[in-house]
Amino acid sequence: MSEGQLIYSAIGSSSQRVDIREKVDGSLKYFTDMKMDGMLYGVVFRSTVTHARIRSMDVTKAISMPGIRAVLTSRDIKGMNAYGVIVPDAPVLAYDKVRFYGEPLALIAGDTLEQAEAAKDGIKVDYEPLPVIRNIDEALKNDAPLIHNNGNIARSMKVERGDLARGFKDSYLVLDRDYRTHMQKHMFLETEAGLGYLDEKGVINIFVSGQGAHSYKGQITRALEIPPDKLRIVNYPEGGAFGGKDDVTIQILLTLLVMKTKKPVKLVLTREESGAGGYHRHASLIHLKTGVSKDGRFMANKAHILLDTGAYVSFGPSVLDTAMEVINGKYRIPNISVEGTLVYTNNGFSSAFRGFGAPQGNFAIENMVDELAYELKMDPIDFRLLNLLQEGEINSFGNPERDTMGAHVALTEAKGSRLWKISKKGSLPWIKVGLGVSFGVKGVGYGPVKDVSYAAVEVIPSGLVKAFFSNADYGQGINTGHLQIVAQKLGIPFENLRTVNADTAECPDTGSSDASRSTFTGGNALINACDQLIEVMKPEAARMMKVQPTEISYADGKFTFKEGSEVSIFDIASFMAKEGKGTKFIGSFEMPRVAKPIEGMIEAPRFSNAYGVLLSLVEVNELTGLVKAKAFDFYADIGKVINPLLALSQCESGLIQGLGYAITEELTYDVDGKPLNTNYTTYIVPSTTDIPSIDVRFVDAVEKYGPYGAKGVGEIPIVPVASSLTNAVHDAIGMRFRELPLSPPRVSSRMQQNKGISVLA
Amino acid sequence: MTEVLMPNTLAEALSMISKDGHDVLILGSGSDVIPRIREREIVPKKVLDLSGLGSELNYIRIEGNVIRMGALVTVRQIIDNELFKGRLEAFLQAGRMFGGPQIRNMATVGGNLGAASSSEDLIPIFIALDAKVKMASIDGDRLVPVSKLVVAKRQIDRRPNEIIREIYFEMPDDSSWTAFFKAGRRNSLIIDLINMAMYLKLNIDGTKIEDIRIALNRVRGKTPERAYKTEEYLRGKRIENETIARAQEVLDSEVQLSSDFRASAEYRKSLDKVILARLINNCRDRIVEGRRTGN
Amino acid sequence: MKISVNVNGRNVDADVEPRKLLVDFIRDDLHLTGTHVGCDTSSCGACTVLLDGVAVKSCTMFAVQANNRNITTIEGLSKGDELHRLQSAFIEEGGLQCGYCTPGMIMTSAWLLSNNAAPTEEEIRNGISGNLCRCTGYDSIIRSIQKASSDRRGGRK
Repeated sequence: MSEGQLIYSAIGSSSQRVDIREKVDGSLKYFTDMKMDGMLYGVVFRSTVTHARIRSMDVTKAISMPGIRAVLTSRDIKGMNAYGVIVPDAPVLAYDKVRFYGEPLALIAGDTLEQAEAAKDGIKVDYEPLPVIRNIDEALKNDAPLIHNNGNIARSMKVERGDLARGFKDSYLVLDRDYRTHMQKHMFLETEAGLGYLDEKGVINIFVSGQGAHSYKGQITRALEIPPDKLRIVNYPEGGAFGGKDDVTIQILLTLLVMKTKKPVKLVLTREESGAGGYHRHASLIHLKTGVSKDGRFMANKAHILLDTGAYVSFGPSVLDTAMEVINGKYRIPNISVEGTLVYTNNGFSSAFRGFGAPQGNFAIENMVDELAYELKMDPIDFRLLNLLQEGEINSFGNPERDTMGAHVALTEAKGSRLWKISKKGSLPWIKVGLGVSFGVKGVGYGPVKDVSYAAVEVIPSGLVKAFFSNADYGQGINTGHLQIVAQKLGIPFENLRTVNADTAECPDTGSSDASRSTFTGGNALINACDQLIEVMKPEAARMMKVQPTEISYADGKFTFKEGSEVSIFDIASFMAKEGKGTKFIGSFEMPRVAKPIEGMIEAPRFSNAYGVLLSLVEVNELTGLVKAKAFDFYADIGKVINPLLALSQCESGLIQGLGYAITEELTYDVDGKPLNTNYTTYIVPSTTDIPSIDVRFVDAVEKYGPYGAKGVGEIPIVPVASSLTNAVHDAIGMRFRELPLSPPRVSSRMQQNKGISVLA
Repeated sequence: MTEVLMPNTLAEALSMISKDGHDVLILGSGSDVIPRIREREIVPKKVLDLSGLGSELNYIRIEGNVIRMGALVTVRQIIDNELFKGRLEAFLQAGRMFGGPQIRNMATVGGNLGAASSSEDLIPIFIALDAKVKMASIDGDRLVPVSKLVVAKRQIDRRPNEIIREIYFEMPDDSSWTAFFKAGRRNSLIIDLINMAMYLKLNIDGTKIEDIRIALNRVRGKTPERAYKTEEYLRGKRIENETIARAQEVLDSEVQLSSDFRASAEYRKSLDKVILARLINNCRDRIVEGRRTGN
Repeated sequence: MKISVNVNGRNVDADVEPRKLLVDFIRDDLHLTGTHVGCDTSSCGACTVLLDGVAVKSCTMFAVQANNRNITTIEGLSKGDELHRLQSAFIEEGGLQCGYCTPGMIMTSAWLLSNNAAPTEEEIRNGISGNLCRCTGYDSIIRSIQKASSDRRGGRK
């Protein structure tokens, strides 16, 4: 099917977000803004202890309190009362045990929010406290108390290739290092929120924050035993997600409330609840031993990655696989051993967070790479270029490398950065300046798991084409990017296109908005839907024009026989509608997978990868330990750029979340396992005054299988930030930080230990 | 159910709390109190909102060499007032980092004094200036030196029937300067790790410290404190590296700082030493500069 | 308590509970949901409105404290279909992602530009430092405000 001549090129133009006007004039209704007549308010009663057996729970007093319509516990759940995107190990409402502070135990529905809140005082729980496991090391002790009956190890994986011992033996230099990273909160501006109601057809409609409407539908119907046709989930619009709304948050709770009360119910988590009960990024401990030859070639890499998944696994296995995937960089390493261990602790609930394990793995390997280059007295970029796999070479996980060309270009372009020329003389004697490099990889899609996405386009006779897909637009702009793909494919002006987003009643299952996959998979599924549109409409057009289908061609929204003889898809739709034919076309796309998967791995290795090279210029204040990022130069291969403005915005976004991760942000639990900093005054996300100057360049690259050559941009920017900053700090003050964050107390105390710095200002 | 009292005059406000004043929470703008009410950290029976008393309690006056500020002066008004652009620079340094812009538009001097949380930035400055707080009640006014105002975390020497009416202090002379520094993890909206305010006066020929007052917060017990021993050591000394190094040691031994998840006491101490040196040099430089330029 | 407030140019008389927050009054009673709530601690700035032309956090005031005063919310910034130049600039420069912080950002910026028609980048950064955004990394917001201020400068020529 030919694509025809375009009036303009939609791909590569900075189309405005489809919903931007409603976002600037305040008219867009977020889930927190929704209301219905007769609506009840739901609240969640949560554990106030971290790890305990539940001896008994008494809710009788709460039920009789004023305005209370329902108090629900595990006894009210008919289904399996468990959820979890990979392993359903988390109870919807806890019954025998609580495993983290803030775990849901009961739900209350009241006429007013205040009444519902007040009824929490009417619930009594008798706990038998159990010792709290606060970190990976404690969880793995021989005598550690068990969080789940099957032990504190949720997953073990090992991948080996080559002869590791030989590799180390033949190495000129071997470094053996431990790296630790901490927990990061998503801190989306809009907390987990939703409104649900039962409609006249007996369908429960749930409007709720989320990234994967169809995934929730499956999980909810299993957990609560609801027929799939009695449940509808809508995930758009919402105030940020970043992975923190990827697995189920409040969806099941809200559904249960509506099921039992048969009334509309609104449920919005407070910031504190979102902090204790919501998700965060896995803390990690990574042992890394790496050997290189004298001329700077990798000989062997041995890694053991341990991740703290908290009380339940959620996306833990996928996150672990991703960390394992990136621990060899994209370097030519003939001998490897990569071990992964996912560990239960009582630290809340870890799950997906932009980068999905890649920032942790990258922190270790890129710190190591920088140290090796330094010890070998090699230029850090030349060292990386020397070892970067060429296309066609067999990579560490045994597959031919297929897309590192853009990475070579990005690294090469980074050699010409403006930052190399900046003076490293500080403005004051105690301000030290340094420049650091890091190279990040982030796979696109779900790896070896079969991933088929569906999306639809519908031609409306009045002159619109609607695109239907379930990749939720939580701010990244997928509604806009997808429409550009449809605009390009059909040659239809942007203003004649509309989206229906993330609604299980109307949208086919395009999968979730995660894993940097939406553009790649959803975009291709839409292209396929457009192909079907053209294929089905062509004979209809031919019939209308009374010519043979072979005599007409498609371009710019119409079929043309010859100059002046044409019929638009809207006229065809009208023609078809009169004959009772549908004009909605469902397309599909199966994500390509690597030839040789690794047994047991579910998320890696991936077929396609985005790459990013980040140069960071920092100032380290030797007196206070404050690390200030002054400039970021980011060179990225995200394939063909669909929308430069939105892609830039995603890069700025990820870089600054990475800056927070590296320096100011750290979720902390006290000795009893209670989170200490979950609001914006205690958990420090970057503000406007903390931002370095940012320069983003996209290298010219095309992914053969991506829609119009695109890959994905959502995650790659955050991946190299922390390692780039620690490498820059090393350049500034000669100290390697192998533990995050680079907080002033940590940096200061290291400097005082190492240098005995005088504190005269 | 919380009752909100909204008087239109000070006299009316004072009579509202003349009895049962201990049930009443006094609101300057609410920028400190309202979030605490929302968090249920406090559940007041009654709230007395002073925002209607602007005509009586919102003024910055200079009388002779005494500066008087009404309790309802906002942080924004301080930043925008020419009076604070010279020797009273400490207020500008604190004001620019106080909360965020919207909070600066709202937060009042009286509210800051009344809240007495360990992160109130203005209190150390007032202590360094040796300011006095004027409490009003139906029985008349009472003076409290600001150094004695905070008796414990979030507790001040205010009787239930009193309202903070005014704070006043002497304008530093042309041999003096004030400075403030606050260190945190972010550049705005920060609860600080540590802060310190200083008043420093040089002798006639500008070679020695004639007088100095140092106030800092995050002291164990979460109250702001004067560093009397450090001040005493520095008085009469020349500003030289050895002097400062010794003063840092005195400060180190004198002050007991608090530890929490944001930072350890050790780190706070190391910061305090840095800030001490920085503020001394800052004040000295500005005084010398002012003399050169005749300001 | 009975209060009388001018909201977006309209006089509103209402009977409100004394401890009701201004933001709840705006959202629940007046149904102006463009003013958002992102925190419980007066930190995020998503609830910023203008009170007599000055940017304040509406979660940090009781509704009764707004008695006899003028409030402008995001809904009152545009004149009918005609957007305020800041709103247009946020569209042109793409100064948002999820958009949840945007009304607060724009209201603070409106106050900033009313005091300083041509702020420097540093003044803009300081001016909106009481508003948090978790999506954009802020640069696109800064560009939007710069665009709005230079449009006005351009208009004056």
